[in-house]
Amino acid sequence: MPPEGGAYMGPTGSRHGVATLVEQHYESLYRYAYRLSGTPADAEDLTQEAFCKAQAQLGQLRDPDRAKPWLFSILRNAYLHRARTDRTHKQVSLDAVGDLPDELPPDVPEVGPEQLQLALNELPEGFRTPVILFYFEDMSYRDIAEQMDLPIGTVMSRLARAKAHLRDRLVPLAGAAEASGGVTRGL
Amino acid sequence: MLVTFFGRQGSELAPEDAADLDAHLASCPKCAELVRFERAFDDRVAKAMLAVPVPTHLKGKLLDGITAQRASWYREKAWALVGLAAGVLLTIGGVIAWQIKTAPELTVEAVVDHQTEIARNPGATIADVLGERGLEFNPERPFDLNQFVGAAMGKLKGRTVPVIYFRNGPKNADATVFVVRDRDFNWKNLPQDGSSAPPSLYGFQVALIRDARRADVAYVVVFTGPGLDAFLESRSSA
Repeated sequence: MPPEGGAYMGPTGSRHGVATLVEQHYESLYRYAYRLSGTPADAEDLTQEAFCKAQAQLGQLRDPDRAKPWLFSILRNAYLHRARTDRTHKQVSLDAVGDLPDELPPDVPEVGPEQLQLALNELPEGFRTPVILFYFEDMSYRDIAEQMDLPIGTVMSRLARAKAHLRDRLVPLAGAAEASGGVTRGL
Repeated sequence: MLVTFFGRQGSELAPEDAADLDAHLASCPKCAELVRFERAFDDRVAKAMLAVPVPTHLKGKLLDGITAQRASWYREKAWALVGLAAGVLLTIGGVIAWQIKTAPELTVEAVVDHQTEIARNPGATIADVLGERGLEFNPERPFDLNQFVGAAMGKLKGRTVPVIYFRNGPKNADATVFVVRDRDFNWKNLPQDGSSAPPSLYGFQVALIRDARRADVAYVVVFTGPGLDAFLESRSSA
């Protein structure tokens, strides 16, 4: 952040201020956009759109220390706006995600980034966003709740179900299907 | 859901809750195994979550994008200002054109008629001017309205007051009468008995005439010629 907040003031913001935000946050924003949208092209577009909107709304950023969650919020809104008109993702029902079995495997295998993306793509946005934010470092439950304008308890509930879905998809648990009576694998 | 707390964000628990949890885990192998698994799972997913290669060209593209947006904003702003200025100029031009178009036509006859009306009825002209200040023309010593030249608002010591002009042609004398109120001027240093002060270097004399009906109103007369009587009724014609 610049030492003085002046760089963030003004009706359209200063180029210097936004450029600083780009320097500091573009990688995080791109990763977030990629995990939300699932494709590099959409992630680039979303990141670009988010910074352009940030430049136009820079006067609304009162606390430079909150720039990152502010940018994430802008990006998510841009994603939701697109998602309303583009419903191509197949999403699973989370009603029957499996519980952990009594006997857990001694080790958890490595998770492939593409494998993770496939599992994320199956989640409804309301579950995908908290789980993405959860695994991004330094995002607290409170940050996630503010991002999504949800009570913290709702965030935790959604996280638990979204994580259970990821676990079902990413970790082969021998006893899981038996313990839960089968896991729903589709819409 | 409790398992969620065991993950990477476990530090968000209150210290006393965290201590209770640790105590429980120390004594419960089943939960400890659960936590071990959950933490390992979280580590794997977090690692994969962040393993997104960022295109090398992205930063330059983003910076170019915001620069282009800013340039576009300035262009729009400039055009908006140009449009606004053009609108203001058109409006001003329109008002001036309308004023020119609707301005009354001046002819010799119209001007003469106007002045004739003033000459015929000086009392009405004086009443119009004084009426702007809520005043009436009632000097204790009446002026000879046959010598009336004109009346208008004028300045006296920086304040706007009604002013009436008289001219005594035969005696080549002029009088300017300022109609004043005591809340606007302190006139105690002027001659209070109707007499006039001695002529100045340029022949100006000053006299004060009270209003016949209002004690707060007076007429400050600045005149030339033989004396104030030259502008008053019954004596001026002598």
